[in-house]
Amino acid sequence: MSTVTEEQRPQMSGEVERQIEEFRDHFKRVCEEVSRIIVGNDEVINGVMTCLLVKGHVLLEGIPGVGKTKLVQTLADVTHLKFSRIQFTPDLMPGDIIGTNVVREDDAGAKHFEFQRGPIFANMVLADEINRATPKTQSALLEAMQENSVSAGGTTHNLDQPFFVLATQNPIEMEGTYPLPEAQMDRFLFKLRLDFPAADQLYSIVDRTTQQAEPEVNRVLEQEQILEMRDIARSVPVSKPVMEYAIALTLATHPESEKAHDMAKKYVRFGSSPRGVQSLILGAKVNALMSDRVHVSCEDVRAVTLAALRHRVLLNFEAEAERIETDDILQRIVESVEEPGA
Amino acid sequence: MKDREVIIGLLRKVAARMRLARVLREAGFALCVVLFALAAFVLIRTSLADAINGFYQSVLVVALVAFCLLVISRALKRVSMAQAASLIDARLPLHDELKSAYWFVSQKEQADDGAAFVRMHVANAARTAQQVRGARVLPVRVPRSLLLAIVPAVVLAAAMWSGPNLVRAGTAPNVIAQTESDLQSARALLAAATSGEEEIKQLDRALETFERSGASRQERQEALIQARDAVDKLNMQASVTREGLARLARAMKGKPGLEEVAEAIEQGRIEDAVGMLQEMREELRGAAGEVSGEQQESAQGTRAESPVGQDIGEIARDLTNMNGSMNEESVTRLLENLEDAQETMRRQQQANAARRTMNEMDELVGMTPQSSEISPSDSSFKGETPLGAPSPDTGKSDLRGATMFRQAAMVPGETDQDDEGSTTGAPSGSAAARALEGRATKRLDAVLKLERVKVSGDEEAKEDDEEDSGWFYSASQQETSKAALADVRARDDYNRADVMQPSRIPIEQQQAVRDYFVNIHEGSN
Repeated sequence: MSTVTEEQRPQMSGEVERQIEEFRDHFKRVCEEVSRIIVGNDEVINGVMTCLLVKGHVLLEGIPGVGKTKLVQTLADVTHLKFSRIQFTPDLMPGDIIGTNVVREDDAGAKHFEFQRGPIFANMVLADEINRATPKTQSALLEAMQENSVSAGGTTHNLDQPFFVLATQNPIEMEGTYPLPEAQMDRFLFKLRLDFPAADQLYSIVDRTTQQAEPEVNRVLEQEQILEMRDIARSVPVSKPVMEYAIALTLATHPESEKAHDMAKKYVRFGSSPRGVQSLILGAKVNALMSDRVHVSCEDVRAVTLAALRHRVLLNFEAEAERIETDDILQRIVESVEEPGA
Repeated sequence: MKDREVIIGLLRKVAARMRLARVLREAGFALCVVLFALAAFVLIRTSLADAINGFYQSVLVVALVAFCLLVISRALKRVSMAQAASLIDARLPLHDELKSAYWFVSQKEQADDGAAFVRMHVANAARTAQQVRGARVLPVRVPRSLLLAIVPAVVLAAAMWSGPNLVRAGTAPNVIAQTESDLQSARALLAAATSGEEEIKQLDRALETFERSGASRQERQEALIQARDAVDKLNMQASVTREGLARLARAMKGKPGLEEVAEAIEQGRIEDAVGMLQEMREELRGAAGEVSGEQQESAQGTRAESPVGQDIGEIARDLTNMNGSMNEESVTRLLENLEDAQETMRRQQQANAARRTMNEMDELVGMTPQSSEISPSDSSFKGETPLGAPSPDTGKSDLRGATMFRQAAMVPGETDQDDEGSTTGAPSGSAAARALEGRATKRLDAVLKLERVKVSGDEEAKEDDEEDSGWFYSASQQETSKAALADVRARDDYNRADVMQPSRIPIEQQQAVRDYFVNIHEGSN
């Protein structure tokens, strides 16, 4: 790293402050625009935005009709990104997502293969009811999520940035579905749950959606701005004690670990993967910025723990028999793990 | 660098305050625990006095010392600046700002060349640190544990105040002062009651030694021994007096007009007896005229010169030999001797009271008293025993210097063994006690009493028999005299005893059995 002189420091500090201010401003404006369509679920909107800004993907879970798809569509409208929607069905094939090589005949009559891009070639992809497709098709999407590229016909095609996948799944209609394997669930940064709206929220929903014209949203965030925000989010410093806290939380989910929580020992089959710690820290960074801070605190880590770890902790049979939820275990862990130096 | 110094300066101050607070807290905790332990120990020792001995005290002391060392090590443990930063973050709250900033400034490379975000973060933290005051974050207060320590302290004080038997030397000066005042009272009582007797002087000297604050332990022990000797002698005198009174009562029973007096003496009602005799003397005086002053002086002079028990014995003998009714002179003599006997027993009571006070004082100063077979309670009990009955300690006491009640309680027979009834020495004289050896002999659980036994085949000595024949001890009807064979065999005199076999012959009959076989042998010759 280059040495920074004393004279340069105030200028750099001012630049950083400006960037942070812009970050917060954009973030808030996006959330406000989305909130014009989506009633309630502010935490989910924040979570989706967080995932977008730290190069993550999000899995939305909720019963039918709570606005999962609407949320994603609204977000795509607000962010001015190329949006595509894939409705996952059992007969959906990987090629339907990725694309396929087709034979083309040019003007000279020569035939050649040409890659026909699938719907995954977009900035924001809505994988609706992802658990209805076969594992083979799911894997095609998940591979693209991990690698940010797809391979077809021996050629690798990079995906445009930002590449952001929002998958939805219905937790109650399990008939004829293919639940995502844990390894593939791990690819999602957050798993967010959309709860059934409260009475006053229902009133707002009905009020907004049963009139002649639905409210419209403005595009407040460009593609370049999103990439800038991604850089800012990742620049937030994290001290070692905070990292240790995130690690302690993660280790507490591992039943075989010495630091495992009692509930984890009893009800957890597999704890969170290392991706869980990454998710905690990345989510905490955005949370810190949105809390008017340039440093990550343990409080930020706690704020994203449920979203970052709930799909990475695999419960055992005993937990299912006793109807123990992952969130319950994580909540206990958050309450019990002490901050370093406390 | 300035930001770094500001942050670290604040953290140092807070760390110092944390350490001080920890020391206070640990000290309060330690004090609380120690006081609780001591209070519990004192309370337990009060209820289980016999079960708690020095070993438990040592264990308690060692445990408390170890605990205090542990607490001290905890209290003096270093407080890191990271801990101080965490505390400030938690108290204000700062959302880990100082903790995070301290970590970054402690990483030298990052502090100098770190990202702009880090520098901004450190600068923000330094601004916060400048506004923070250590006293606001961590005010030094008296810990609650110190206040809580008041409870066990009160309990401990109450337990110590209510349990004087728990007091060791130097720990309860008020108790010792109380006993010292008792000593002074005892001395005053002795001085007022009697004068001139060697035993009283000896006892007074012993009391004086105890009263003296600078007396060494050795001096106190010697004084205790002297006091014991003196009290033993006084007890012996009282016993002789009782025996004389018993004989007097028996002699008076046969005399007309003196039966009631004899009964009162037998029952220990000396004052009643004195009153009756005074009335009798008045009656005789009225009949025979005034007694001359010379005669009175003569009687008083005789009274001061000879021992009381001896006088009573002479009077009893005179009464036995007297034919006819009593005259004024004999009644006056009888009266004076009864008053002397009363005085002797009162003196015994006072001496025993003084001795008891000395024993209490002796326990307080942590000395182990050399146990005498005559306990203060036994001695005091003697004064309350009806005078007609022999002393309850007669024959069973084991005295230093072989001073025996037995000597006064019975007329020595020709066939008596020198050390009969004593395991420490001869029954008469002032021979030095034999050194105790072997294991302690189990005391015979028998209450002995005098029985008058008519010796068959000795009709000629019938007259003499009433006076001085055939007194010996036999087991009372209440409880037979028993001793385990092992205990008997353990005695030195058992091995030396001239018995036929290691038989089951009771001790009190061994002499009779031996005499029987000796007589057979002589008869056959």
